[in-house]
Amino acid sequence: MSQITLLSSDNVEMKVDKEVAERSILIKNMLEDVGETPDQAIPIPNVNEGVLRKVIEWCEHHRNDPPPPADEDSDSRKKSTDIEEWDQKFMQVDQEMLFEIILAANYLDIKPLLDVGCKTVANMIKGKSPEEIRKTFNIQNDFTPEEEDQIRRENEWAEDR
Amino acid sequence: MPITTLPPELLTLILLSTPFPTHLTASAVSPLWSSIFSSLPLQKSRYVPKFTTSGLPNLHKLLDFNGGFRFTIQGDKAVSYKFRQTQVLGPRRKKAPRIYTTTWESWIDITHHPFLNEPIFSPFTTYLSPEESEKLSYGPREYMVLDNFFIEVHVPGVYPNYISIGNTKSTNWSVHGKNGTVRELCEFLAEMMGFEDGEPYEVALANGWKIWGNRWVGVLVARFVGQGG
Repeated sequence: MSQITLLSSDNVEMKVDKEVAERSILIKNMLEDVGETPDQAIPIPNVNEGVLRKVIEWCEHHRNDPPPPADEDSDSRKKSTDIEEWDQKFMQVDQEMLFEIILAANYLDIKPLLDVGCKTVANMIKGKSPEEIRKTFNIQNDFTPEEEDQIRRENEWAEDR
Repeated sequence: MPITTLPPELLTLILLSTPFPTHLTASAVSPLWSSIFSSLPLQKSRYVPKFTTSGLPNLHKLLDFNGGFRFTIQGDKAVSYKFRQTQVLGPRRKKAPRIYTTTWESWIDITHHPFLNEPIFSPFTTYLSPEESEKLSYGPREYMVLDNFFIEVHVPGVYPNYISIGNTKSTNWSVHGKNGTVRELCEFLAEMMGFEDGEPYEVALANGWKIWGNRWVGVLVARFVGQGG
């Protein structure tokens, strides 16, 4: 099994099986362009060590997954917010790390990981009132007072039943 | 890094992963979220797919949850709208002998919600013309392309759950004739069902299918569910 070396943004080298690293379409294409397995470390300038380790951990676990179906217009994503158990545990990290993982998955082009990340955040949004969502994610309510008034009228939580 | 520093395209992907009822509340979080919820990808996701074995294809999801959408008629006007939000409370214990789920529901007032101004049927797909669909014989309904649907109106009191010619007024509402907005549909129904006593009546909409002539047509049934609202 050939291995390659990745270099995180904070200059930490990590050895990974080529097959694992190729879960990232970005890296896979890069390796295809180069042809042979490179001797030098591949720099991943946007991802720091902690996040890169986390991403590699995910790729290790999912190394034998079938490739995701070719772009079927994200229809399967919408179908459910179910996440398999291992991924749920994997995603039990603080918000900081969660969004870093989403950014890294997007940059490295690892669609299934991006998907899991988005679903995880979606589950944190689901079933909450606008105010609860703002609190959860520390979002400023930057509606103008007039807009706010309008929204309040739109979204009054009517009687519970 | 907080959620606010994510680029808009990633926030869009996240919000695309939320189920429809969440769209109603989460669009009030901030101006940015509101604009993402009214963007094209999110609008598209508010319609049932073109091929579906349950519900009506291409229908706006506001109307897709049987009975989850209600509006109140007073006189011959639709005066308020609401949507049922259901949530499973508490941890679901997988290993417990029984799975407990406590559900909780509440009604969100959506009288002024912008989603009411979205078309009833997806504007992002092409439909057969009535002439083209006339040539089709009826087959499995998942192959049918909806070009037309009925609205059946149940008059309160008599046989509330039973469809019969006697107590039902029905009318056509077609994608080709007029793909109106959800609000227009309800205003139209209010005019059709209107009462002179000035009391508020609550109406629920359910959807289904029916064979009409040689084809499947979608049916929306408007039903009075109570007085007041």
